[in-house]
Amino acid sequence: MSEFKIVGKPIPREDARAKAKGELKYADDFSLPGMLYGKVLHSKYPAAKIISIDTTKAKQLPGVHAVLTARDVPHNETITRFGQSAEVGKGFEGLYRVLADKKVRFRGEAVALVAADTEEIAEEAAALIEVNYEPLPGVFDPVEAMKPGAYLVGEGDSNIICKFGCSQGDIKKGFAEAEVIIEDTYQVPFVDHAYLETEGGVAWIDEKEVINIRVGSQVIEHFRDVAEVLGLPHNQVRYIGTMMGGGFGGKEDITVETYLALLTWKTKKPVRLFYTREESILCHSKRHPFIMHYKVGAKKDGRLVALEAELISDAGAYPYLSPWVNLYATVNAAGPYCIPNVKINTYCVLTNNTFTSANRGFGAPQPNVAYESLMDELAYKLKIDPLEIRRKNCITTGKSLSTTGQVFNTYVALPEVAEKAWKALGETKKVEDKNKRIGRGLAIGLMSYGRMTFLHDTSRCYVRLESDGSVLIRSGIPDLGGGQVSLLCQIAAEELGVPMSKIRIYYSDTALTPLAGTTTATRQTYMSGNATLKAAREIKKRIIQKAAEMMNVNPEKLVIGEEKIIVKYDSAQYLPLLEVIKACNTEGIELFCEAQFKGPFTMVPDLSNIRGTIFPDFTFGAQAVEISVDIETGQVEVLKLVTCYDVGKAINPLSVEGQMEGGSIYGMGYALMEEVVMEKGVTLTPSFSEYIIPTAADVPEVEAILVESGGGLGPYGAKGIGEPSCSIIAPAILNAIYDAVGVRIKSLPATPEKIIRALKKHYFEGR
Amino acid sequence: MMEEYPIELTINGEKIVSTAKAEESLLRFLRRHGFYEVKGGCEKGDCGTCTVIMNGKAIKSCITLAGQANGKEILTVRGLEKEESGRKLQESFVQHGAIQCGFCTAGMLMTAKAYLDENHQPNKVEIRKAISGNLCRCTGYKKIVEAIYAVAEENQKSK
Amino acid sequence: MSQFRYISPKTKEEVLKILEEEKSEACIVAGGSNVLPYIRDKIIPPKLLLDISGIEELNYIKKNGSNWRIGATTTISDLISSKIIREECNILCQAAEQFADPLVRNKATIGGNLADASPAADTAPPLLALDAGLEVESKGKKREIFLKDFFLGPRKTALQDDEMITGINFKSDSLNKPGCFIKLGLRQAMAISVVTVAMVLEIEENRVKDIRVAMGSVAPIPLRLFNAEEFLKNKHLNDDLIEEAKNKVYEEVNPISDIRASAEYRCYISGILFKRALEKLTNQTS
Ligand SMILES: Cc1cc2nc3c(=O)[nH]c(=O)nc-3n(C[C@H](O)[C@H](O)[C@H](O)COP(=O)(O)OP(=O)(O)OC[C@H]3O[C@@H](n4cnc5c(N)ncnc54)[C@H](O)[C@@H]3O)c2cc1C
Ligand code: FES
Ligand code: FES
Repeated sequence: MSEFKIVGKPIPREDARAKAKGELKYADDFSLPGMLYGKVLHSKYPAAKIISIDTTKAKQLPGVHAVLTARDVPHNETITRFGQSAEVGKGFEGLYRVLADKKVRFRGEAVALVAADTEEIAEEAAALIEVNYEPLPGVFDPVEAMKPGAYLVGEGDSNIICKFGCSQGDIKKGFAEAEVIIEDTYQVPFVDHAYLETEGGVAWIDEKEVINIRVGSQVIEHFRDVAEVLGLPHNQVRYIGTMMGGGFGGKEDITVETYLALLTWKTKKPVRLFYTREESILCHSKRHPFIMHYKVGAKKDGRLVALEAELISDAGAYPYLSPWVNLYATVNAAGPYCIPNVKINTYCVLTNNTFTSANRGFGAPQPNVAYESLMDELAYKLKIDPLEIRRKNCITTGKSLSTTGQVFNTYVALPEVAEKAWKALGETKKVEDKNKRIGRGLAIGLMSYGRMTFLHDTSRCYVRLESDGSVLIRSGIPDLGGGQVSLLCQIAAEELGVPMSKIRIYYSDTALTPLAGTTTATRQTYMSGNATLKAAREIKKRIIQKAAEMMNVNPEKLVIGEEKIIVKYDSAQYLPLLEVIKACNTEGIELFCEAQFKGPFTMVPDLSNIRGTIFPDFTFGAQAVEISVDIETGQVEVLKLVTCYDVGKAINPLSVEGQMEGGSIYGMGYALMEEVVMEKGVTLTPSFSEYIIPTAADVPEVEAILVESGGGLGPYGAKGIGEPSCSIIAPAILNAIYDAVGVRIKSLPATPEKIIRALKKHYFEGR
Repeated sequence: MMEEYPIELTINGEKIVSTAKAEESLLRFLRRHGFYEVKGGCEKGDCGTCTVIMNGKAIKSCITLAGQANGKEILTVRGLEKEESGRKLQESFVQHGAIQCGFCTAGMLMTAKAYLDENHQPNKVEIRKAISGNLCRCTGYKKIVEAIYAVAEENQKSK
Repeated sequence: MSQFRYISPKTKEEVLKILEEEKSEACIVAGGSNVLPYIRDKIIPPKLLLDISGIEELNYIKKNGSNWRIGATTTISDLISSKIIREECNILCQAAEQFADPLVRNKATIGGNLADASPAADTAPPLLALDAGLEVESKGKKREIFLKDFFLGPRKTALQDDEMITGINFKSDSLNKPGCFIKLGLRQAMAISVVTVAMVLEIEENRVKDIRVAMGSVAPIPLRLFNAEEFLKNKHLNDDLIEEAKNKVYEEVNPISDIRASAEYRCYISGILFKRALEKLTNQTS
């Protein structure tokens, strides 16, 4: 029997009905009288000198209100941040340049901005801007870009923007002890977030001269960055965050907000600016491609003794969140395994490709592809069952992460989830087709939730119990579709003993809601969930205290539920919530509270050897698939997919399953079909007909198995699931392909062509 | 032969008399007239967020000229509520957790509605095929398929 | 700046008259599933958009004795829901069912698919295999173009500026034989073909009596494989022969590399799909 009334129940989300009825107003579903249309002129070269920009013709076009270039931006160069307020030092700072100045670094970089009466005029004006470029050679391969003497993408003296290392034990000794050693190189491509709502919003100036930006953003704290670009006080820029049509990390950096702010500031009129799908793919961030060289050593019985890895990632043309992503990759590089001797080196390099930054899973999914493929290879080589080899080596409760040495004192579910996922595949499916081979693959992993502890993360929430028993919440939380907003309602409803229908929430407004921090790093259930819990519990405490006085019982004997204050084990004895509220209000007892939750704080680590606690906690999971491979065409069909995670506590099982199912298919796309193809900095896949993601006809039966250990740091023991859910499906699929047809695909996506080229070497040789 | 031409159509039962630009898509026309519930995710026919029902058939409004809707009946997600079959689908999506960011939802519901109006006994594989022109990046489709299937089953029973 | 204009005539005659006046200034719009994306990409400059979607007289599927006629604005969905197509011209039904997705199929027309002249047009291979002809009209003039002579290159056809496709015709004789269409794409819906094959096959006493094969996405135009057909005629089908015939296919196709697949893979797959079509149809006849 559960003591919860609302938490843990698969209830419809707060925002679901408005979405089903088509009533929710997204960023683009909004307009203002006299609104202008903004347009960005993007660079046509990936690398070029800007000799001159002539905007005369564009400005003369009737209906044009502003044409802006770098010269018009008060502070064109600032620092990329993602909402942190702690000082973390230079190692993580990158240049944020609003408009290209003197030199363009990637094709699609913003060169000029236009605002005009209509979208058509804005487009025409952008085409009339004459930019005189002198093309430069550029560099497009991170390995080339690392070499001394390489073309320099930026203004610095090296293209390498960060180097991270971490090690434990003695790597030489480790490999000397090894009885088998496997060495290989894995590669993963650029991919797009492919949210269905592109980047955009509307901005205007109000009567207080505040620039209001109504936009879909995962990080409304960027209001400070926008203010700094304009040279305005922070409180003169306001973000009004809308529910997003998907984010997945792509709305974590500033997208169009600075452009909107500049255009509205210069024209003093409302401005709308939305990216087309092509712009979204060409100009905004991508997931980091990695080249990963791995060497693993083990004993004959399968025990791992050494792991060495060198990871090189492509930052594209600007750093954005590259250092952070690469830190994740470094920490995840040895996977969820106990390995006494480890050495990791990570390099992140600028190139003239489209810039890369956050994407669901941050830097975890990339190394996961490499180490989980290698574990599989090891299992085959040593003739050990894939589950067995993982059970033998995986981290268990009390053990530590092999990269940083962070110790896990709470329950580590790895052995449990691995077994559950693998077993749930059930009987092998029979296929009639003589050309199809069945295979199975397993992958396990861990991924952090919550921000790096040296970022000193906090979240705030305001809760107020109204005199009629309804509840009002204000939280700065952005909702990218994962149900972040609804979750807070559920927590408040549970704690205050009112039904969901009595909760109203205002969210994502930097002027009016307490800042809750970013919807990134799988941190909102944990951080804002706890802040809401704290605020609601404070009010509950006051209510119960008052009720205890009124009923003349010990407050510890009272519980709250169904809009009543009830004596435990005696439901006949109670006071209606309303009566207690009235009494409180009469006496001036505060039935509102703004609470702050603080994550654990640590010092900035030594980046050349990252050790100790970097993250508050981790989520553990396993994914298993059964697939068929057509040995003549190379086509892969995923027949069954099992995803099993210890989510701590599923506050809303529907939402948790939704993350696990959706994350699996997000990862399946990464494994099998998604790639932003870039040739010398030019994107060859600028639409959804070239950049393909799975359709409903491509997906298998997904089974989500929830383990609820209660061991998380979030409310009620919850852990985060948003990003972990997608982070290991790709290697599970690669392992299944190997199981089916005996070829190991070492670069994503595993297209039919790559599989056939591996299977039919003879045929393709010499062609 | 005009750059702007008169157009008359019914949207969710309401008659709209207006003008359209020659190359204007039905999607842009609808949004320009305040039907913001119809979403544009790609404007090239590749995603399905702009799906509406035109004279009983689900179509992608971004690859339809406004003029092609002249004299026709258009149903958008905000018109679904008027019909029981529409309401049932909306409620089923809500109850099954088939809605995450919701950006695909309006289109998905329209496809589902037109499909169930024609097919009364689909299995889940058939439902997957039926909605294969509507991308969803969030849900992995499972709960959407379940939501549609539940309505199909209920319709079957009530017969 | 010149602007788009729009007109939606109600009869074929009106369309032909406008075409005569406007010639290349007019752009026919049927389903719009190619035209609207082209407008967004500025591949089509401002023109007169001549909307033929409302012309009822061009939407039909008729069978008269052994003569089949399909109107140009017949949609892909119309093909799927037509009982006679399903029962008596299944090869076209198979292609229609693998075409785009259910929503696009509700708008995309067979005439638009052919006129767009993409090497990947999915209705082209089955119609080539059926020896189809196109009914092409201009003001006061009618002519017929064999489909095999219609495609001149990617997005290039034998149509004159003042002409339109009004219908497609073919004879039943090829339909008495089993036919099949196989498509390889990179996903299960909304997939532009990597390679397609359409085949009709007649076997008599274990010999290939008649065979017609066409392929998509293996050359600048949808391709009829006459050499492979000739090679197989009157021969006993067996595994060795099929392997030899695959070599004929490799000689005949001339694919390009693009983001979906390399030319080598396309070439290899054309052999595989060719073999699969043969196997499938021989299994059906035996
Ligand atoms: C998401 C998506 C998926 C797709 N998938 C496929 C697929 O799987 N297979 C496939 O083959 N295609 C596919 N297409 C392409 C397109 O849908 C087809 O080519 C379709 O058949 C075009 O028909 P339409 O009626 O929409 O043509 P329109 O766009 O109206 O016209 C296409 C061209 O033909 C001309 N035209 C049209 N009708 C006539 C006529 N009667 N006489 C002379 N000229 C004419 C037009 O001027 C234009 O140049 C896809 C498109 C989209 C958007
Ligand atoms: S907006 Fe119409 S299909 Fe994407
Ligand atoms: S719910 Fe976000 S795209 Fe479907």
